[in-house]
Amino acid sequence: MSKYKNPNSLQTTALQCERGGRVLFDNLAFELHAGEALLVQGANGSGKTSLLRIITGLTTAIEGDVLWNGALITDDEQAYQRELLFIGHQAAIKQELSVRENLRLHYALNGCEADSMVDLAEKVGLRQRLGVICSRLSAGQQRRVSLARLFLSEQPLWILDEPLTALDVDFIATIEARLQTHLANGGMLILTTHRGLDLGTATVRHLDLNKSAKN
Amino acid sequence: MRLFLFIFKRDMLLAVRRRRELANPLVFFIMVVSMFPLGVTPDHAFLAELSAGVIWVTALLAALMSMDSMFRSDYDDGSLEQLLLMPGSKVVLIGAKIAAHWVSIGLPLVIIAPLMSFLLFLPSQALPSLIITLLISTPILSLLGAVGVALTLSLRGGGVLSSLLTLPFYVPVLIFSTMAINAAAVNQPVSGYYALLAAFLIVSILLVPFAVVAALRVSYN
Repeated sequence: MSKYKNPNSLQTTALQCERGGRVLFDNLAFELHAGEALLVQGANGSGKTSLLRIITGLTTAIEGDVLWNGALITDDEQAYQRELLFIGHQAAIKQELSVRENLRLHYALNGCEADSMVDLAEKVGLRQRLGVICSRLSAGQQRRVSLARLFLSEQPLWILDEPLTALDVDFIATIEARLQTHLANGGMLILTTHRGLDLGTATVRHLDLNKSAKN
Repeated sequence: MRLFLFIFKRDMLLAVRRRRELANPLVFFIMVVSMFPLGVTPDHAFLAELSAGVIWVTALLAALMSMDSMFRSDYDDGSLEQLLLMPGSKVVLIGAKIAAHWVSIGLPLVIIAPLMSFLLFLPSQALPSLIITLLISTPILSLLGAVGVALTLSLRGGGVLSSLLTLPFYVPVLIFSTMAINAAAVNQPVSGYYALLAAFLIVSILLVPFAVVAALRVSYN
């Protein structure tokens, strides 16, 4: 069933995060196994993005550790980064470049050759727009360019921050289907979203940051 | 090496697309240098004496103006975090970004400066040393500037702060470069100055990428 070599696991121990002198969450621990999704919920400013960035290793928590398969993610940073796909709430596409050039950057970020680009553009519904400069695209189309990485990804751990912003209903369904396949293949998913999401039969854990907030 | 080439090509492509923004420092350089004879005096001897200093100060300020472009847009649109999450050496990544910055800003300055030196009547025997000092020192400017920009990335209005942080480190480069050119103008030996500048360059190349990686971590925390 699983297409990944070993059953992966992600674990955090007593994470604490502080922003602007205010403790956002404290003593936050969870575990995630292959094929499971973690839905991070909470009000605006409750630290969802901060938590995701701590898990990616971009930011370090004040206290607590993030463990990938039992080892600290900082022990072998590059090995962890090979297993990880992070899409932040900023689209991370270059406005000055065309859709084709941005997709080519995606391939390079994933470390693979850009051989199936037309197929990829077809999947995100931008085949007719390959030559267009991204600053001329709508917000939703830019989001699609950004999310095209999901269709390339070989990484078992996906961390997505508000992936559904500005997308139309049809494309949300496409993304849901992609996420379900990923989970069914033994992948792992951590995401924040303010709207409901159908993840099919996969185990979905919920993490509510409002409850773990400390005043 | 593949990572270096990938980042270098990416940044050069972006530089080509953003050429109007990149032309700003060069236009500034050309304007200031060409206004000088008009505003001060058209006297050859007087301008010749000033020329090394004027060209160098202007080139330095033009380079400083352009530093923000190295990481700012990548930071703002989230692509810098994607690059930092790429498996691969962060030091190589930063080195490639600085190299691309130098090729798109420093190198054009080196090419234009000899032309501008004619406007200020730089003595012809000093021309080679102008080119050599710029060639050695503009990479130092890009390298040191990168540290300042990386440190102030997460601050609003970080541009001013990063200039203030970087400028003191530019002063020795300025002093030794202009001293070399002035020495060449009166036919004095200059190799000592070149050696010092080259040493400065080598130390910067070896240390700066590590400092920038650390500075970016601070900015992301």
